[in-house]
Amino acid sequence: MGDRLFKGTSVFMAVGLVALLGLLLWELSVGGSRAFARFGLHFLTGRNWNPVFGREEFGALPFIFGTLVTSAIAIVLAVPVAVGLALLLNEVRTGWLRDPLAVFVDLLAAIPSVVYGLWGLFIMKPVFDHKVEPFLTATIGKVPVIGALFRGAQYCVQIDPTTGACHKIGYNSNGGDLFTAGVILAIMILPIVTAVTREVVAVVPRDLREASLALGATRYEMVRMAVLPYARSGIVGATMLGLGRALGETIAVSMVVGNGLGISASLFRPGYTIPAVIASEFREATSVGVHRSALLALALVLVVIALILAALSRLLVRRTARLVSAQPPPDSVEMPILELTG
Amino acid sequence: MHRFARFMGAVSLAAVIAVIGVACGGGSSSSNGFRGVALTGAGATFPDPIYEKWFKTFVTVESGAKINYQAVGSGGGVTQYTAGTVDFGASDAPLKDAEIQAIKAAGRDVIEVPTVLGGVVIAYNASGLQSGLKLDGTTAANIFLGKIKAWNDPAIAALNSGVTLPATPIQVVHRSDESGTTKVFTSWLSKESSEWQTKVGADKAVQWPVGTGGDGNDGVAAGISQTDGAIGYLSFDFAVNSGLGVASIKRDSDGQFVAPSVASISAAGGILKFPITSDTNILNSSAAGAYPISTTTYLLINPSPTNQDKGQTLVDFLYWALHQGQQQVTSLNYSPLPQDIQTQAVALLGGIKFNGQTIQPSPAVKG
Repeated sequence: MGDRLFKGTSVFMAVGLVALLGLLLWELSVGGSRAFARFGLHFLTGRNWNPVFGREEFGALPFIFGTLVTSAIAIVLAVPVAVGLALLLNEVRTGWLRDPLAVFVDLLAAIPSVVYGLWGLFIMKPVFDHKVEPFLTATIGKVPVIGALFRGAQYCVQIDPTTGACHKIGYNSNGGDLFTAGVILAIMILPIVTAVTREVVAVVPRDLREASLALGATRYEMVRMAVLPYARSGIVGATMLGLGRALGETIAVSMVVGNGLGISASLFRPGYTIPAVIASEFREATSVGVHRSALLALALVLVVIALILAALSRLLVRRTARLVSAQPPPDSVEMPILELTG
Repeated sequence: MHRFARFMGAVSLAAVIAVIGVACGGGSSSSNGFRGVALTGAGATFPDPIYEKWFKTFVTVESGAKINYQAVGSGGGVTQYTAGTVDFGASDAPLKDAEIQAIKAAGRDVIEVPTVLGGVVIAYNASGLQSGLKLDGTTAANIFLGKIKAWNDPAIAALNSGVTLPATPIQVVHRSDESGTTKVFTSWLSKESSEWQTKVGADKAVQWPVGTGGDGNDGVAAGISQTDGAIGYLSFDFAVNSGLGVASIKRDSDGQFVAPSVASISAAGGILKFPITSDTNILNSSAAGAYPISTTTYLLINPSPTNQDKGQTLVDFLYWALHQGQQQVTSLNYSPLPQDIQTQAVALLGGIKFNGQTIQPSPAVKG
């Protein structure tokens, strides 16, 4: 009796959760149907977002671009730091530093995003505008190809007063931009990625570590050859959790991303993300006109992006898990160590 | 965020007031004159600070007249007035013809009463530039179109002879949220530049060709003050306290440059024509000394209130706001209606009737 009740309740709740997601998707599709009907595929590929009454045109591409780019920057910056932190806390004897550091990282997770946003807007953005970004432009910005990522909008530093020709070109990194938003997102997702990675690293079997140490591996080699391969799928999972948060973050991003439509190679130019534009424009988007429908359609696009990425991460986790099990960690440790000692 | 907090505040305030209203109940009139009843209203955020101040002061005139105002935005104000869920609405823009038809279809009518004037200023922050930079409409439009990219552009130099302009790049900052301020500013740019009119147009939110967006006046002011070379637009009452440089704007009528001030914005109201129609505005006012980017805001009033006490309270409040109330507006950097406009606005109150009888203002507010 108790078992059946338990089973019934859990099945009901599980089904309820799925139904809730289904209902959400349904409502968003219905709400966004006017925009989809009017713009069709152009809603996904269009670069114009014009809410002016009588000339409405809604294309989501700048927002999709901004959302993906800021999240990607966040992942690229946060994951190496998070993995390093997790290893430091678990694998290295840091003595008295360990506990305060762990508490500090957990505390980062407890700060509300609006506080990050305020800090980003009033403290971090000016420093990035005036110091960090000009420095990056002057260094990495000169490298061919990837340099384009680190150069802001061009402007003329010196105009010839008579001919009007430009003598010297400068790059303007002022104002909110994708890079600043990506960095603040990286800080925001750092705690969750670190916490999950720590847990994953902590469950690497003791035998594995001891075996590799016994074979003469240094601490670093033990981490590289025994711990990381074993924890890989867990680290991918942690990254995906962080990515989920980065995709949906609204307020902090909207305060520093610049809120300007634009798709360009430069990370130092303003962008816009899906959550930010929804938060900016929902207040007065009236049911007259197609504006409200376009915002709901945007929400649907965001949910679909999140679902696709979640599915991809599942695949990735499964693949890495298979790699690890097909090639048991002890072997993968043994081989290189033999080489080293031999 | 800020506005949402204020909205939630207003909602909870409404709940509290409703409870108090029920608890106290009735007793609006007493032997020593009319004491007013509670009213609710909703609408524009731009005049919210002065409205709140008026409501707070008006309670000292009629102790029962607790007026709850929800600053949900002009669009919300019109919607709620049309649906009949509030006693009065408020809108920064005059009603569109379709909106008036919707109100009539709901079996009601509306009188649009102008209450205060405001302006939109072009604010900037460029090292070496004092406040009072001179701009005209075409130049402003070209800056916001992204065609003028640096402060030492010949077009700006031509308007400011004798001023050393820095070679700093111009960084445009605009509103990212939807706002009546944006509507006024883009309407003015549309009047001044046919290119702006065709490429961008005018509304509460537009597709900005260049620049970064900030949330609310606070967001725009923060964006401007942090960036050397930034330019943006702010509501006048906000710009006064921001410490940013403020541009003087060239008048189309006589070529004079006028700085935004309480007096120059008030002067712009002189061209207001009654009755108010959907295209009423006071942009590029030809009145003497008027600041070109000025605007007015309206209360939406039902000419045939269903409840006599509510009608009486509303008439008393409006009469008071258009007389004594006008003396308070400058303390919050709004501009009062000019004398003859104020007289005409008061005359509109004669259209508010109960059972066919015009509701006369109580002696308390006339005193």
